[in-house]
Amino acid sequence: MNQNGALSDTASVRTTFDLVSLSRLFGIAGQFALLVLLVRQFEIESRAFFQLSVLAWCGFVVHAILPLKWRLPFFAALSVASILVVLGVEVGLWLFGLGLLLIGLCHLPIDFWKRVVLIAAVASIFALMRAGLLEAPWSGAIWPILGSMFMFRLAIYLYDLRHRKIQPSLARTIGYFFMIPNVCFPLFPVIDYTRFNKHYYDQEDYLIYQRGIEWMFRGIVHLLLYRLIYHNFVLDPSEVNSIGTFVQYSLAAFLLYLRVSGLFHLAVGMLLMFGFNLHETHRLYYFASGFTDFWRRINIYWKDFMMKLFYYPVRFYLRGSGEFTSILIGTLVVFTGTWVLHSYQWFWLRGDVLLEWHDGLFWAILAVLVIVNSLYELKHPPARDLGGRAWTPLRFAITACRTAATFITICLLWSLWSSDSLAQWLSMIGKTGVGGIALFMAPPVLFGVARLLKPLEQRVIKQGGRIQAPPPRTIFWRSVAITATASVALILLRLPAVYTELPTVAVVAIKTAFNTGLNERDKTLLVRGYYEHLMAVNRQNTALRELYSKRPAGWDSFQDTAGWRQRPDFLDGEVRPNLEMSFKGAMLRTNSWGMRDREYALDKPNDVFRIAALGASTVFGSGVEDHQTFESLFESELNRNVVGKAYAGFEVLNFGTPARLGLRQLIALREKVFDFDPDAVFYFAHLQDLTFPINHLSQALRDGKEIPFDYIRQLLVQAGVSRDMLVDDIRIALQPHAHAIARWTYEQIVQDCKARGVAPVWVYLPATNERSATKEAAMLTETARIAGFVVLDLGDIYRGHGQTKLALAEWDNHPNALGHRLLAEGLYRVVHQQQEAVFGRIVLQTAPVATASIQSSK
Amino acid sequence: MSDTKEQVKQFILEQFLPGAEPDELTDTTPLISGGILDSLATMKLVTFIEQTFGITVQAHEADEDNLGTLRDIERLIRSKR
Repeated sequence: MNQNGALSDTASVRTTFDLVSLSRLFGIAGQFALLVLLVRQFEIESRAFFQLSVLAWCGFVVHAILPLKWRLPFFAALSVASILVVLGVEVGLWLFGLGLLLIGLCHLPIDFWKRVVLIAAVASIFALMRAGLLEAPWSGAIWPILGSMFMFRLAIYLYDLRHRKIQPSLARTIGYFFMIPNVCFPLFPVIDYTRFNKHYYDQEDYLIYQRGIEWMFRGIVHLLLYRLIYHNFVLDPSEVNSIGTFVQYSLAAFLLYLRVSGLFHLAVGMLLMFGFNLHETHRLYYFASGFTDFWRRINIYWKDFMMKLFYYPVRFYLRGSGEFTSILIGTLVVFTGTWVLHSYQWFWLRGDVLLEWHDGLFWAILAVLVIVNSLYELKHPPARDLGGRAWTPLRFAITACRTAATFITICLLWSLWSSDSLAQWLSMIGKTGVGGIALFMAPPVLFGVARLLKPLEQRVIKQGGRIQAPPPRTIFWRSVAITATASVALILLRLPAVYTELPTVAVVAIKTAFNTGLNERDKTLLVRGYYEHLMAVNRQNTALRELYSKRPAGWDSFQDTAGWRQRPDFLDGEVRPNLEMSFKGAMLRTNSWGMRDREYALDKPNDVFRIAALGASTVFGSGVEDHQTFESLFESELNRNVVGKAYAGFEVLNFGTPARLGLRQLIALREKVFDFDPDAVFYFAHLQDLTFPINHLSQALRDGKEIPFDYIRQLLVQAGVSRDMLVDDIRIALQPHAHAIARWTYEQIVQDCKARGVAPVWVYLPATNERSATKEAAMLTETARIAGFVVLDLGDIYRGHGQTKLALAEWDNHPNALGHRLLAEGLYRVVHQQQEAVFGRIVLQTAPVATASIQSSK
Repeated sequence: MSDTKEQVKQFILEQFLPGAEPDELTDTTPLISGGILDSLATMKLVTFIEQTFGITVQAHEADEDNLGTLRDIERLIRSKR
């Protein structure tokens, strides 16, 4: 395409079809259909992406047979349609309108720099809205996509307008900003506007399409490999305790980048299907043989963007200062800009700023490595070739050394980037011993070996020993056969009738490949996140980060709301009394005692059986209305079924408090609960009974808070932990004592209850994604039984119900209204079965009422 | 081949492609997308062009449009003379 946007003479766009061209089109459309099926079979990305893929396929078929002059407008219309389909009409129209506003500002008939100032002003207002400081009349769901479409492309567009690189047209510009795959991918490659237009049908159309198919297939494979690594190899920093585990941690951290390269291949591959003959976004980056080579291979579009807007302008400006100075400053500007712009991107996608020093350290170290490599290349230019050099044993050895050195260095850097802090990373390094020293020494040694061998290779070349390798050829039908066969094979592998016949290793791998959920580590982090308000997810944790990016504004931990009152002691905080607020989309009220419940007198009525419900956020009822909590429903059901003269009714007092489990419940029991003179204490337990007390103790020790209970203080001494250790290290040291702490806590609760004539009841509450008893749950249940609790197990309460129907949201595992109703039904049923143990007599009707009609009367 | 193109071609062969057959470097050989000109080489080429032909190349002109092939480079030089 020439500068005015017309197709160049070399473009080959078919406008009439013969048998050969039709067969090619069918071959390509058929492969595209297989890829759409793969997206569905393996649940690649979201359901919205599947819908988009179907739309893209239909669009491709129509687009490919349209006359050329209609294709760009059709692509633009299809892109806008994709926004309306994925986001809905209202939100989609807002997005489109806001985008048109920004584009319109670029074309105002005023001085260029005044336009820039206007755009910056509008963007600043948007930023205030994104940060929640100004209210916007449109849905917050717009921001990640609007940001993704405009945050970088607007800069490129303005740059190209300024330098008159291309004359924009309406269709071209709309197609550029709203391009079809972007609505599903907030993280999107930074596509250059000139390149987007210049390489439009600049090659035979079927060759462009086939490359698009190859890249989309490659993207899907990358995403499946990512799942394999994500579910099977990722380690938590707390699990790193040797050179082997550190290597696994570092390797897995770097390999997780497959998710980004997979998404980008999918996105750009889809664009090729509409004639945009763009170049690769990534090129064998795991095989980079130097740091400049790494920079040029990984996220090539980002590199081009930084070169165009930052590097070349700086280098041209500093031309007179000499090569060394201009390279040094140019590279520093690029990497500093990359660090800052990544945080700018994070802001638009997530709504908060993430600018951390160890993040900056990563970019600073990489900048130094690239600068050193660049200066080395100035003196020792890398070999370039027109025909492609053949692989001799010497060349292989040199490249292998350099590639291994680069790979190890980048893995080490990536492990730093993936850690929560520099201190955490150094702590992990400290556990690697001699092996760690060898790991850090390996790259310079390998680079040294490659440097020593280099003169030998050059001598061979000078002696005429170089052999010209044959140039690669693109063979269309071979590519079709390979991609189609591989796609069909993957689709078949997804069928249980097929994969169950394979060896166990293959079955595990395949099952992992279609596991779209969080891995065990992230499930724990997700729970810890909303219990311990740890929402600051490391940006390398793409799975959890993307989940959190879907959270609407205000969907925080309760501890981050005005409803929480901090305490300086081990309890950390408590729920404020007399609250009336919205929390996670539901109204929440507390009484004068700070319970999420109706008002109760401190003195218990004589004819009432009072139950104190102790628990964390599920008992508290996070995300459901007051009358929907299982505690409320359970109380109502008890009162509907009371029989006999022993009690006129029941009271269930909701002492549920977010993040309060284990030791904190023991403190609350003694400090507050017994004042209400309960007849029974129902302690609602989770699997987190084994982990949260450890986390709380670790943080409290680190924060210098007084540790309660002599037994616990002695245990800390025994574990060899102290305040000056990192929280993670304290946690690791205390983990072996988790069960002992749980057992001791349960024994104390039972002793306290029995000393007061209170019935101690222990109830296991599963998470919404728990379908069967785990080993830990069984151990906790037995521990509670031995401690002396009456044990009520609701472990299989959710069986037969999918998690998506029970959880509040994809990013929040707390039970929704249905989940609470199931809990109430199940609790009533087991209490009814064991009412003599709980109440000391029969107090409920002989058979449970059909609980489908269970309702709260609170 | 014109004088301008020949001079640029010789520079590229000497600086970046020692040992390559001159006939392999044609008017349409992709220099940037083909990996012959990276950022360091591009700056060296720009310096050569400016000093040899007495023109000034701007930062926004250091791209595939203007330096992508020998033909593109010749067109850039001609447009500035």
